[in-house]
Amino acid sequence: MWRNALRFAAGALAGALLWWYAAPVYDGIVAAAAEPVLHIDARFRDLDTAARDRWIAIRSAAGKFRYGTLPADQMTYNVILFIALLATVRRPRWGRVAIAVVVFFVSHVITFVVGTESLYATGRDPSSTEANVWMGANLLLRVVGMLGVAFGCWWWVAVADSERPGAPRRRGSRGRRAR
Amino acid sequence: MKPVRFLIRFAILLAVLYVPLTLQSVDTAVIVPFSRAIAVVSAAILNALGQHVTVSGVILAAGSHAVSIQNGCNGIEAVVFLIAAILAFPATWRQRLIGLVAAIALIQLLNLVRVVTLFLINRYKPDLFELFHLAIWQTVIGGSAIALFYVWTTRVHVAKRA
Repeated sequence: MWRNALRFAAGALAGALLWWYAAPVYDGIVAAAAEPVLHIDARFRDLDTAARDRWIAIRSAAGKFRYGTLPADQMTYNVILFIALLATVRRPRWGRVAIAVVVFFVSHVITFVVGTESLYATGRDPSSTEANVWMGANLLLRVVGMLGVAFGCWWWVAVADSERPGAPRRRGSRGRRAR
Repeated sequence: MKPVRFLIRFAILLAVLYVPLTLQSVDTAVIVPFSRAIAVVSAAILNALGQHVTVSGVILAAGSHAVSIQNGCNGIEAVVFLIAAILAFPATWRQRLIGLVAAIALIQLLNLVRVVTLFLINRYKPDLFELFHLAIWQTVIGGSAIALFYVWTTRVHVAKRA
């Protein structure tokens, strides 16, 4: 247990450093990937994004909607938790890790899309049904979704290996200590 | 239970349990009073530490320094996560109830430590506030919730084998 705690702490440290230094670049990639999705909405056909420090700036090339910013950091910090959890997996299956990373990236793109829609829907009419739906989705993704995605991806890598959590490990791996 | 089936059940439960909490009426009637209670208890702890803190709604203030307990800082996200994960996992209702009561109590205690330390960091080392607020404490709370769930699944498995 203590070894897992130490691995978790080391992973959290590595994750925090990665998040802190790579976030400005990564946030820009997430925003760029979200652009084509946002273009589906006719109101955002000419939407353009740009990374500004740890924020993403959103603007309309033709000035159809006001300039806005989103705190991209707050949409990606679950990377730290995921890396910390991943560090506790002794023999990860790298194929599953790759799938988890893709899921993680897609979840960040979706969070950015929903965040943008929520930002402008509340700006148009905060009491409208549309604004409430986008705000609800935004809260869902940014509060429990962040934790849920990190947990789900870790579970997929660590536990989805046919074993039930808490079950004694297979022969050849470290068994549980005798009480 | 197949892991993928567990994940689907978990995701559905997470959304179903959290969506009502995003409604304005539920926020006003349940979440804000709960956050206010956390603010009151945190203020009592901080005052015991000699901080001379006052509470106004969900805001803790001392002089020009203040922190506000918003959604995402009241431990509700970890509680919803625990409920969804424990309900999605195969166990008896008694095991689930014991697991939920114990895990939620521990998470809320930890959340009090988070609020108190974030207030102190905001007051004495404000340049570190965002790092602790977003990176460190969110990871600790999320990691603790997952660890508590994992420990609970171990107990459930041991009980099944006995």
